[in-house]
Amino acid sequence: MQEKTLLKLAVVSSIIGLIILFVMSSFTQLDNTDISKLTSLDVDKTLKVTGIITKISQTEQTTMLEIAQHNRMPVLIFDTNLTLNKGDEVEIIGKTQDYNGELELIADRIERK
Amino acid sequence: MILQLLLAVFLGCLGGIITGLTPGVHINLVSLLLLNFSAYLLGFTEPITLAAFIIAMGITHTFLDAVPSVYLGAPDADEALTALPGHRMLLEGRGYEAVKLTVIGAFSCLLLTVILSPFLIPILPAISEYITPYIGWILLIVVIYMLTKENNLNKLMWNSFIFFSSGALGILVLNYPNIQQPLLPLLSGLFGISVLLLSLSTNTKIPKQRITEEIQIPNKIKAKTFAAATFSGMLTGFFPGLGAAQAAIVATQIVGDIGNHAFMILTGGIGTVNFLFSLVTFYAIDKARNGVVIVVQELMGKITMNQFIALIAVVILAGAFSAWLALFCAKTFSSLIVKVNYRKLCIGVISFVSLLVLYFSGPIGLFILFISTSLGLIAPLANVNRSHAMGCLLLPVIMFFLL
Repeated sequence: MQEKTLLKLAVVSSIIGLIILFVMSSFTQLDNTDISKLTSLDVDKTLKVTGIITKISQTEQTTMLEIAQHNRMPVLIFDTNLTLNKGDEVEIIGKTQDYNGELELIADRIERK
Repeated sequence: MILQLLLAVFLGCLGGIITGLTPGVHINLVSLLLLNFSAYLLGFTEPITLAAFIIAMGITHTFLDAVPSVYLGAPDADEALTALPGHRMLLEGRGYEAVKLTVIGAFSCLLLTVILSPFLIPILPAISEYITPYIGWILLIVVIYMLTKENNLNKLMWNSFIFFSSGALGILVLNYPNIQQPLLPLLSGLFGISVLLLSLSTNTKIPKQRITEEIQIPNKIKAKTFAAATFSGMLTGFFPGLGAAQAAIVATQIVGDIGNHAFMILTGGIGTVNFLFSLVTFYAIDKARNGVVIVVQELMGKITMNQFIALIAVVILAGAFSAWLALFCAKTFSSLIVKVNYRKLCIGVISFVSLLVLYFSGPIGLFILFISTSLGLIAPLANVNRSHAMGCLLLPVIMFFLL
């Protein structure tokens, strides 16, 4: 195969592949994550976590939660207009970040179960 | 106790030979597998002995992963950029020389990092706090410079296309729901399989390999390269998301055009410093940045100064042994590679990596491998530098820090 044809083929496959991957990723549901299996390597990962709220506190701009499965994990939400209570079971989708050497979940979406 | 530690180092080095020589296997993957067995292994030995075994294995891996990268064109994530000049040197009959250069870089930078560590440990927390807000901007400036440094509109267009397409692929893959080991298909396609496919299509023949005993590199270049490798390898200890490959890009922008020889020294050095420095940051600021150190953290909790010194001794011992091992393996590969049918070898490696991707990342991994291979083919066919495909990691990291 000529180099020019191969180049065109590579460009077209890449673009079509990227579009298909984008569409597939929008339709793929996240699996529930077991908090106890997370390690420091899991920083900057998008996760879905379901658990019971064990602590709740608010500042001017954020709501801080602690949710529990077998282990506990802190969750930060940039929203203060939430009607959540201790003991609620919630499903949270968010991104993990490192905070003082521990994993914390920055919530993008939170739903009461 | 000392005998147990020595035995652990020896066994760790043997383990590192297997993981280092297996194409496409990253040390983080091995570490997490080991973590699953650690509870069982602790029934037989002390945590410090197991930690010594794992660290020796990790160090040996960082020395030996240059071998499949150079001889088979199948790099792991940290060696992605080494594969290109390394494979080119193999095609010129200088595969052994390529590995030897990475070993020189790895061992020299290992010693340099050990010497610098006592001075860095007290100031690491302050440095970490000061640099973190600026890392996104620093990387952005590096990328703009990388893309625009050639005064040719056609090349600028291809460079930008490769960088942003790879970046988009990186963002999609790293955020794809539920995928395991996303870097395996991403980097294997961009920097491994695409190289091998082109070798297949051009009927590449491996020439007889020379065993170079002495390599002449000016002292000034060596000093500049060791310093840049150590500095950029250390950066990875501070920043989440910044790996050895991105550090190599930062380092090449610091030192400028240093030629193939120094580039191999640079990438060899960065891989080892990246590994070793994460042990130092673990001790200094309690942050574990790679799989091996996470396993050590799980095994030992916070380490004391005496334990840290013992582990540094393990690093030096394993490093010295691994340098010899890497050269021995390179000599063996040099004599074997000319005897095997290169076409069959390429097909074998492509099949092996594809199976590995299918096993770890599933069918979606194979689809990602297909896209990343297509993207990896564009740079050599458009006659531009393939390192722009590192956008797959750089763009997500820049977005992580700036958005």
